[in-house]
Amino acid sequence: MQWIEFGHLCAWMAFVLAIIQSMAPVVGHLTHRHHLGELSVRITPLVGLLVVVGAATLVNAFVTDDFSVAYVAQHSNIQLPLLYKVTGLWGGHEGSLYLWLTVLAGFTTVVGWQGRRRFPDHLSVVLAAQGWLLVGFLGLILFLSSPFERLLTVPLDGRELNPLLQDPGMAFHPPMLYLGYVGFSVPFAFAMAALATGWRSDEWVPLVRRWVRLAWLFLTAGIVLGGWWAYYELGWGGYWAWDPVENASFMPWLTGTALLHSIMAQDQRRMLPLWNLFLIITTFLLSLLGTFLVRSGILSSVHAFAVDPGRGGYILVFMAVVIGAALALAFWRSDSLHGEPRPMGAVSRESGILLGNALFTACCVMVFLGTLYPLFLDLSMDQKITVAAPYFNGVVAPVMLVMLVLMVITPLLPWRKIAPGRLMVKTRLLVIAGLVAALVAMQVWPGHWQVGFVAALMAALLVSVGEDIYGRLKISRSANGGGLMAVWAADSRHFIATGAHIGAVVIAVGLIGSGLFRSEQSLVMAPGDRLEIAGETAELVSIENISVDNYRAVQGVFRLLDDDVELRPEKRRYPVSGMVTTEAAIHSTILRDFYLVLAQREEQGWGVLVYVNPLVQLIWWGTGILLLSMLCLLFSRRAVR
Amino acid sequence: MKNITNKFLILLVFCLAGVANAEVVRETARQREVLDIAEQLRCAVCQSQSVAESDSDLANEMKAIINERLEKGAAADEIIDYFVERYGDYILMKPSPDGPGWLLWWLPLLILAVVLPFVGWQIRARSKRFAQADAAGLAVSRDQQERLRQLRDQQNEDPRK
Amino acid sequence: MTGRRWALLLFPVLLGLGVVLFLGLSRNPSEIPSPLVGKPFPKLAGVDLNGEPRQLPTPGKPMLVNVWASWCTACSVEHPVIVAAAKKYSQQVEFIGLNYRDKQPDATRWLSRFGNPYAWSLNDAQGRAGIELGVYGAPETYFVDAEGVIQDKKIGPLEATELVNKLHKITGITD
Repeated sequence: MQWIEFGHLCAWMAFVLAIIQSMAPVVGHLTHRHHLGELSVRITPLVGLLVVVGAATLVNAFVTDDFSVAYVAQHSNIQLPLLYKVTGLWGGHEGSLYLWLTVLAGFTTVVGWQGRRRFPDHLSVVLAAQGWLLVGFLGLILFLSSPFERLLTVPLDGRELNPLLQDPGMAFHPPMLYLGYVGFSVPFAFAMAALATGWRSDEWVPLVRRWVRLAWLFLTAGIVLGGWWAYYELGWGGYWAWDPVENASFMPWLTGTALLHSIMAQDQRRMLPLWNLFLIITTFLLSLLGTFLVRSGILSSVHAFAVDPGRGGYILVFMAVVIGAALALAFWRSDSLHGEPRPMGAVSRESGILLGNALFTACCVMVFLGTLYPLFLDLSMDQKITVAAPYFNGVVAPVMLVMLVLMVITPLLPWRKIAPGRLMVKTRLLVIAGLVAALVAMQVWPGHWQVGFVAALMAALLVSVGEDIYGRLKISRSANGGGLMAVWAADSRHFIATGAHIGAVVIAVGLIGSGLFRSEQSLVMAPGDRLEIAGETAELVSIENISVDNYRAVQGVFRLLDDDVELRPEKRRYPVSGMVTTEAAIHSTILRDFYLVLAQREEQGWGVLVYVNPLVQLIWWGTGILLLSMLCLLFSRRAVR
Repeated sequence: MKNITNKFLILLVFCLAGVANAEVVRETARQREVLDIAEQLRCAVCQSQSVAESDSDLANEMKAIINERLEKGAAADEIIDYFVERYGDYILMKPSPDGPGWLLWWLPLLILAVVLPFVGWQIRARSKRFAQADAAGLAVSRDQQERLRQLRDQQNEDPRK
Repeated sequence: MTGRRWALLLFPVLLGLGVVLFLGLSRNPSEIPSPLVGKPFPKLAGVDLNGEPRQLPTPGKPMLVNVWASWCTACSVEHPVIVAAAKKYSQQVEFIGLNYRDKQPDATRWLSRFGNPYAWSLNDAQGRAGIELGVYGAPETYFVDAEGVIQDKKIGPLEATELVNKLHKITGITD
């Protein structure tokens, strides 16, 4: 039996059922047969199952080398290692869309399970909203971008998967991102359902908190994984190029992070319900926008899938419908949405969160405008310009630096209010620590004020955490003789949040270190030559030619004389596709990365690029701390006071 | 014994010869100049990469041209202008403040000029209301707050997160 | 501000954005308009594919300078269009090729296979002449009038009617 055709059939059945899922409560409401809504709930797991079966048949086609499936023939071949055959599912446009769909169907099913117990009255409408999204994606896939297309003449072997994607980091980067993007579709569906049915904000927002956190976790992981992969694989010594598609993932991250915090304000202080609604809708729309940008050919990007204005047009129309629906519903409900701004002190945690949200949003707008500016210019004045790293770095970095300060101070502020005088007393010690650290740092690494700034930040953060723990310990001891464990248990979420902020500062240190203090050289070397950079010496021992399964390579054998380590950067050629890739060789310590790249063959030897990136490993470690903290938060329960 | 010593000495001589021959290759000042200029130019066939970062043929040719012109004594500005005349503003990594991208440099300031006052207004409006509530004695005292929070937490503790 | 006012404010903004994105679909982000249009064709000197010394621009006659290469698949799509046009217009317009980043034997082989519409082709193995012209890929075509001023530049493969229209622009002939 042709399993792929069965999978195709399942996808079509899912499409039909998804239409029913999305329409049932609406029809039920209009015809006053409210039990029809139940249909949505019952259909949801079925849709999920069908979509997953479709995915399974696609993966099966990859694993069994079924080259009669056009998509498999384009993105796989017999020699490909098994792991990359499986991950080849999202190696191209059609398959990655199907992955999006699968995650969407999966999350919808989970919402269906959760909802029966927790919010049965509104479940059908929420599932209907998600049903609309499913219909949209299934429509796009089945009509315009089907991975199930067959070839009449079956090739004996497929074309090769892009060798750059044959890497574990790259294999898992798309699924992580999609888990993030699609994760934000759940709060969005709730928001739509709430607007449609008049469901009160303080009832449904707590239900989506976990989803927001989960989605944020995956999005962050996906973005950093992408940067990590770029750093290790692409050989230009950097990890973020402000490429339009990178920006497309960064924008929902910015609003998502803002949402993470403002949703807390709604939880604790019942404020900002309208703003949260806006952020929920915007974050999901930005996820969709990202999908649009990658696939429409509207902006040139290394990440872009095949240019196809037809698909781009469909997605644009889809987005227009989604946002149109959101606006229409918001407009319709606008009377009940109007609320009085909640009172809060001028200096308080609320105002800190408000300001932080504003800055994240401002940043998002800046990235958005910068990314689309070339398009605006082209349309209006028929001129092309480049907006790249120098612009974005220049514009985003200052905002982020202010954000870091806010991040250290705001947790110290209590809810409701604190008198400025009291705040000064509270922060006395950490301000002093900060100033001292800044002065010391500027002496040791003069030239960049950012060093002093970051040192001050770190010192202030450490001191504030120390003071906090000490204070709580004192109270705990005097109250009931409890120690550190008791302090933790009393307010674990507070410490988890602190952990996350520490992770963020660590990342910031890594970014500044590797951004500002990088050393680089471009040289021509012959075997026997040495190079000196940033106080280290490396010698080119020999140049070797090697041949592995599906590529041939020229390898430079380098020895780092101070660490007595061998590094072998390569220039690889993949015979099937003719692609040439550069494999960097990196020696990492927590203090710096020594990064070697083999460039072109020259007359007198080989071109060599060498970078020393100080503190770059902190970026990955900091992210680990950040993600771990969020994971802890997801599993934690509210503290008993 | 003597055999081993001989071999050792020969080995030593070779090693020393090797060390003596080892050249420390340094980046010349010219190369650094070329890269400094190349960093400001965009590689037209790459995505968002500068000519300095790029390994493409076009980028390498452009670097060769930069090198030649520097040898002839051209200034950095002149070399950049040479490329802009032929490729337009697109070839610049950073939009120039006098080109069609000038607005980009003002946009962040405009955005902040809108956002920050708005936040300020929100904070003021809310804190005014807070001060009023405080003055009217409606603000809850700290002990009552604590009690309220405990009560709410007990309510919230189990189901929803 | 009420939710209603926000929605009203956002609507035109989003509509505008939608229009921009929609229009953007018809644009090609990798086509860079040339600042050389309206300027004199730069002086280039080199050798052609037979090794003869050649110079550009050619005086007195309008020119079509087509950037091509044997490795460029889009060029083979465009080529028959140029061959046909050369048959008709080579009296009025000088058809000149710029063989960009190519190997001479590959290039001559390609021409004998697909036809040679050019009076001659400049051998630009390193791409220098291309950079002088602001070329960044193939095919690209420059339309130069009799005074040596670049009137138009086409990036990407030419189509028949398009080519004829642009030739009319530089020759002033309408037929």
